Amino acid sequence: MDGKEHKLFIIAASVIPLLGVVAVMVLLWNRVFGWSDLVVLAVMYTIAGLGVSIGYHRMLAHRAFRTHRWIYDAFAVAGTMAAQGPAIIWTAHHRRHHRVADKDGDPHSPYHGGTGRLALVRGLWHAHLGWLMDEKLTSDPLRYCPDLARDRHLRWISRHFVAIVVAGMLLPAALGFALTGSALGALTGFLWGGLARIFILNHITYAINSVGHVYGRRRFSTPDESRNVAWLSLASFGESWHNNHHAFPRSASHGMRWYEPDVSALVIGTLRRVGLAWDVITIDRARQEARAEGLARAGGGRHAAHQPAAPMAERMVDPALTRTTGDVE
Amino acid sequence: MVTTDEVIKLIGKKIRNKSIELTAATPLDSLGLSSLQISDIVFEIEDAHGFEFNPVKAAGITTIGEIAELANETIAAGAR
Repeated sequence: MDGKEHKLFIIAASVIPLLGVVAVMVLLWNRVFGWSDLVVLAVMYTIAGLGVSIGYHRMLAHRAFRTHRWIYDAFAVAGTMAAQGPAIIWTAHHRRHHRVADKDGDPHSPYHGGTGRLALVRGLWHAHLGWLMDEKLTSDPLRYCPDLARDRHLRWISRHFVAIVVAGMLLPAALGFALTGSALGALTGFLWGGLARIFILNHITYAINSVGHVYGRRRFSTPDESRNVAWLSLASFGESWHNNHHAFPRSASHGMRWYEPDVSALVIGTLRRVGLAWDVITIDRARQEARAEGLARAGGGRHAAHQPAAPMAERMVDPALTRTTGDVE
Repeated sequence: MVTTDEVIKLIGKKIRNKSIELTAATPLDSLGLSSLQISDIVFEIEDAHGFEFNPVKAAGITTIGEIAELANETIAAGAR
């Protein structure tokens, strides 16, 4: 998928679901939203949402835990169904975002140039969806995620991205048909569990990149503008504790207090307890406090110096540093 | 031993414009490959022959023929 195809896909994935929502509204005029639609929407939202949060984000991009091969692949496929881009490309962009968060080179910072209210609105749009329209934007997988690109399964899943997204829209149709036994049930299942689900989930995810770098509380003075956004936490499966995440990117849990709900962390914890996940990265309270103190002394925000100082491109000069192995069993 | 023909076949499967004639001298940046396709090609060659490209040397590659050359160099160096 080249830059132009990626842009066309993103536009299609943004506009078609919107039309789906309109179609759903028209249908609602005549027919009440049924329980089967609610079930299909909830099931598909959870599959794709956990796929992106646990699969793409915590497992692939940050290697927060290890698991069996089949669970690893299942999470990658579930994440693909969210229609936010092929796994390897999504992850490359995300690792680059962490490397230079809210500085030059960040693929989706809302601090996009200029000051004032208009610049902020433009920046929010850029961080939300605008950045995905940039055909020339590439984050080279060979540089940012050679460990993932080296994995044959992930390459296959990334190559068959569009087919898996389509499968993720036929699945709710099949589910709707199974629940109601009618063609109309399949159609509304497709609209709610396929199109409307993609629309809602993608804007929640994109809001982490836009809202999550502008509005919210900061526990850690990270060298970026990441924020903890409570009102997005349930819908994003815990992803919106974004300042916590920038302080400890590899942590399997983004919520760090009992009042910071993180459904993804609960699922990873459950997998660990039943022996399906191991080497789960956890950060205890003492480490959190030590880091908060250290960062407070250093001073945070997007103008603060970033660590590590050397970008990956320069580290590549030493071949010993580039030798990576897959993290799966 | 990685042959130029093998690399050409791999690349031929990826590119959309089938009218481009692929030879050892064809410059890679004229093919319009995406970053995902490039990593696909690189790791398929590595998988098939059980070696790893040195990323610094790989960054200097400009033609199809040089891919096979560097691959064989790396394999030979590993075998010694």
